[in-house]
Amino acid sequence: MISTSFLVYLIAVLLLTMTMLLVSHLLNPKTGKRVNKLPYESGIVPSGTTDIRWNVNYFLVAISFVIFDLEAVFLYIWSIVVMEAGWQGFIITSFFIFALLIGLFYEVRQGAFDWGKKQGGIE
Amino acid sequence: MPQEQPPQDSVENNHAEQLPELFALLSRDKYTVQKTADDTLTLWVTANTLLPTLSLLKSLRQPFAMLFDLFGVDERLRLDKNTLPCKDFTVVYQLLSVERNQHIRLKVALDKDDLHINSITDLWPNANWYERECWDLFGIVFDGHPTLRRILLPPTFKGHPLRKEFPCRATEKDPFTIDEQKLAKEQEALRFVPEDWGMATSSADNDYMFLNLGPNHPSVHGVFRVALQLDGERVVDSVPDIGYHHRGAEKIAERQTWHGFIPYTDRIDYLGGVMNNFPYVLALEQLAGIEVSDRVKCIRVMMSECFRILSHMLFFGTFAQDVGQLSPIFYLFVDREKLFGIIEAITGARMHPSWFRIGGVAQDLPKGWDKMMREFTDYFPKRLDEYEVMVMQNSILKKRSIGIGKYDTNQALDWGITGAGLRATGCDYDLRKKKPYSGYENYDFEVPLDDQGDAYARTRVRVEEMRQSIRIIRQCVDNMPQGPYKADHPSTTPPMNHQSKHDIETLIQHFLNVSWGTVMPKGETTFAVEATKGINSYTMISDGTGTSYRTRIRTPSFAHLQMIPPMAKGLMIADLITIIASIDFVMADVDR
Amino acid sequence: MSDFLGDITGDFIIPIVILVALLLAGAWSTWLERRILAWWQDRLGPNRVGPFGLLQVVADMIKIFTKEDWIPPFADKVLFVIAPMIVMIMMMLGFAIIPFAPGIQIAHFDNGLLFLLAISSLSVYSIMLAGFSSNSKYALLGAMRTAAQMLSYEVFMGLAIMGIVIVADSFSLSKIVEAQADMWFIIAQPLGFFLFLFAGIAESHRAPFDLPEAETEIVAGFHTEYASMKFGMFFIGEYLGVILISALITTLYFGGWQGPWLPPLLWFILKTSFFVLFFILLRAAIPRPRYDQLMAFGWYILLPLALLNLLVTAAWQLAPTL
Repeated sequence: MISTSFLVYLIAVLLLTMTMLLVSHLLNPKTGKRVNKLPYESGIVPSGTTDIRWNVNYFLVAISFVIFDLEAVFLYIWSIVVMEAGWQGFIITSFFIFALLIGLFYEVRQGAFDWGKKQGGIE
Repeated sequence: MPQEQPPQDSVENNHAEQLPELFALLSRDKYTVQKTADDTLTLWVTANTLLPTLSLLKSLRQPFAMLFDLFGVDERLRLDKNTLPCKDFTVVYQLLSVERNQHIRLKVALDKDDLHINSITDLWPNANWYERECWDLFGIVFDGHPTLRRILLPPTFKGHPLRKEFPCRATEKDPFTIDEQKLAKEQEALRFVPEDWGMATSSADNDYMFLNLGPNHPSVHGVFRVALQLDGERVVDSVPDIGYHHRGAEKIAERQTWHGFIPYTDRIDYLGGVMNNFPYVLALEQLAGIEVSDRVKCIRVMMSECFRILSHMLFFGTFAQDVGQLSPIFYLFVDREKLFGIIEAITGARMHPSWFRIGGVAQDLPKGWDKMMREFTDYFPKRLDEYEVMVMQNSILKKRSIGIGKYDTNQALDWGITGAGLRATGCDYDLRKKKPYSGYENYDFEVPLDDQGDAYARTRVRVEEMRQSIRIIRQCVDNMPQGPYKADHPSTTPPMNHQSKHDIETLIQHFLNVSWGTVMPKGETTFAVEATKGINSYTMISDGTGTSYRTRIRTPSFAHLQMIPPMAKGLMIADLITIIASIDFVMADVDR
Repeated sequence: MSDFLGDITGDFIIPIVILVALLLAGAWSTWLERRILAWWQDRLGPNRVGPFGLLQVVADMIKIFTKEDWIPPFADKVLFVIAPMIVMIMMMLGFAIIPFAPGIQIAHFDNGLLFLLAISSLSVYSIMLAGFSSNSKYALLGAMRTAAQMLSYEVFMGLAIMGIVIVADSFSLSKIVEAQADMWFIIAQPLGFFLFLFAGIAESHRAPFDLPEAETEIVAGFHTEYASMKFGMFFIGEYLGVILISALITTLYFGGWQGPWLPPLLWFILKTSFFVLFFILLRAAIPRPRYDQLMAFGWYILLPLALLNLLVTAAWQLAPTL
């Protein structure tokens, strides 16, 4: 249920953030220096762009998130009706969580969260 | 009988007994022995015999495993040139055998019309940077070097500055200006081009990102760049890029008086303070044959150990900070301040006292110095115990540093690693024990060792070294000998003045010494000390004038940085930061 | 008439007052952090502007408002500007459902906790968008780290809170507070509390889980290219995040505004301040784990523990029905 107070708050927050940006924009000094045209890379000209095919590790985490967060949503619903669902619900959910853990175990074994060497030096 | 033979042969025979294999390889006409003030076996060999000689020395039963130093000399204006078998340029190779505890120096003479010599990068990986430096500064070409390009100077630089014809003073050249276009050109020249270093831009599955870590980055400790080839956050390969902090100290040494160069040495390892004066004045004292009093020796040891602690404190704090622990650095700064207070009371300056003199120290110790020192030596060990719990026993820090950047003794020797980095691999090589100078043999202390050779071990060794330094300082305080703070020797600078009011000879000598500077006898010497970050040595060549003919500063950090790429290979950016932090370097020390 | 006045108070005055109070709290917690860290680290911290340096914040604000409002020519401009707004809006909205005291609450959502989880998911966007739109490598690395870290910790943040839901049998925060009249949930849900604490630190990307902006590794991470008020918004957003997480810990596990003798609002502020201080001191004490260690910790240890916690809590609740 969306109350008036929430709407007032929401509008106030939006106005506040926009005002902050606007005020700083109006007050800002304009300088057009050569160094402003390059992204920061430790004070030196960059080589290559950020538009590259990225390592898949990060996306594996994102996919795992999608999987587990979706499953978690089912658990959210269960957690509000634990008493109503009773022991039967508990057993079903236990099985569900067990399946989830197997999935997690599988991912771990597949090396989804393997980010390369853990230790090392000169071979 | 040794006494009846000329000195040159006696040196040779002496070493021939130790190195029979070497003299079996070299026939009599292929080498000449040079006598140096430091009694290191110095052989002039021909360019052709160099490689076989070096590989023999490296493969001996007790090998000369470390390429300690490699540098060039421009011999063309040398006054005592005719007494040596030199041509226009010389390349000097200095090797160290840890097992034998012995140095050997090989020299190759080169003609100015044919400045070519074979690269030894196949024998020693750390020859890479030394040869680049030599090419950069002298224009000597090393055939077969994989990447022979500028290292200390910018890629756009013209000329080879350590050649004698290169002007030493800014007033000998047009004023330096830089406009927008020139700046843009210089910047462009610094752009990292992966192909130049033989790096692929992509693998089968994804593209590599090339990231400049430095020269202006929070955790590279100065102006230092590591160009990274990244796969995600994993470091595939890296190229350290140095030279942003190059001041031309070795060139400056050729213009300053012997005495006038002392302040410059302070700024080589700017955390080392008087520890930098140490090898310089010891080398000159060896050259001039000055014998200093026990008091001077003891004062020097005490002050150097103070600076060892100061440097290690900063290392310890920044190491923790780079791993993400914010607080220890502040506590250590407070403690450093206490010790700097003592340094200031004694020398009048804090970080760069320039306090050692040729033949002594600048002043005698002030009244009450021992009380201050005692207070600190009582206070600091307790604090250090606390910091050790805070940092070294922290489980996250352990996880971040144990097993990271690991190498063993052989690899360390191969790469020219000295100091705590070498001792963390279990190699017991500390010059204070192995070649005691300035009376270190009289002190009771231990050399901390570790056998892991990783970032954690290097830190642990340094923490322990602070405790040992405190021990040495205590012994200095307890047993400070009485005596003069300067040697009574004509080359002592500035000289003792007590006779000059009575006797014209001393007055003249004093006058000349103060106005023109002292004159060092002809000769060559290398003096190495166990500095804060490893072995720091000064090789001095004097041709009998008031300035140095060639000053070579061998700094530990230069060698250490070169090892970053193999250490960081395959690890993540965060590990690279841990590795960089654990090396303990100062860019001024690297770039000189 | 009094109804009308009541409506005005409830619908207009309270939200605005809370907004202003939050803004001030966010701004002055930067001062608090600097002073507390300094005190912890044998330093003085900002002590020159005004009494105890309290006006330092004002000086900083003046400075940050008059800085060059730089939008990098290489960046994706719209996203670049929107990203810092999102972080601030989301953090502010998060407070809408917090029961500060009986009657002082902006939105009485029955499913407040779900709203909160949604808000916290959305705030990840701001940081990712900031990193991606900057087109700068350090920012990109920061964005990648953020995405992976915050998504991972989000999974069991939700699961950890569900323990509370089972015990309180409600998603509504005010009901959860009321359910703690006899016993704080820290006693019923100790494991859940620690899980939520870890997740909270990771979600507000504060030290030691500040990998998205680990200054010794990737300079400033996702906000490397930001300047002026846009940077300031990330900055305030981070502190608002800390306050929000502290307020949530208070509400969910430490009885919210409940407490003897003192007024409820004061209890709430005291408890929240305690956790804000805890966050600040945590930063002073602990080094930063490596990226993969953080991920492994989340997925290998915290996620199974969160699931376990859920099951045990449910079994505990159901036990009397046997």
